[in-house]
Amino acid sequence: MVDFIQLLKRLSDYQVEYVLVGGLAAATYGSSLVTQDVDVCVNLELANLIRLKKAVIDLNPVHRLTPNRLKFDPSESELSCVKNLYLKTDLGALDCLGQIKGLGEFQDVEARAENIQLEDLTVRILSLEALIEAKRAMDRPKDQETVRQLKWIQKSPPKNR
Amino acid sequence: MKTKGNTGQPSSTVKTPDAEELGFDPTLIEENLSLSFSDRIKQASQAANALLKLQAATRNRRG
Repeated sequence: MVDFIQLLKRLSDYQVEYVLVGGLAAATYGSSLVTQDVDVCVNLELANLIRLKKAVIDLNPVHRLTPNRLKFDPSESELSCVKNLYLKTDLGALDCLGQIKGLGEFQDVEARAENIQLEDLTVRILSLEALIEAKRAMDRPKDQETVRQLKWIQKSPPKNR
Repeated sequence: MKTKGNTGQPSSTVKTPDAEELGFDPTLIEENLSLSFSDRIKQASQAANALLKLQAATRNRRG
């Protein structure tokens, strides 16, 4: 069963360095578009990827985009080669990206992130302005739709954002 | 007879200003903006679950 908050909580509980990006970040800012996965930009340092593996390993993770949905249980040497991960877990699909088009690598993305509070959980999320930049750079039809909505949200009174 | 707050127009014909021009329904976004961040993400989870069920049902019907 999909539970995006529990999935984010997992990452935070294991101290994974990540920034929430993509469709769920847009939904968090108020977009009405449906998203089926959690997109996060992650620090690709080995220690962080080891924490990521520990965070999801008991959620039956599989590589979502491989033909036979191979189990995600990489060795450290395999982790050291990771650039992106597209996983399916018991709490929902999780895409871990090493870089974001239009923004750069994790350090660049982290520099454009801010904190939001989800009850007792603090989550780093790409700022609204940077999310618009990233979606513009992707420029697929769904990104164009997201940009239209986010720009409308940007003009809303700040207390509602 | 009009009641207070009633525009006299059936609700189905009340048109949101700019909706066609914007290409999306801004009232949906306004509803989202009235929610907390947590509730927006919970709502996104519910929508994803509903979509998965729909996709599974479609697959079963085809299969």
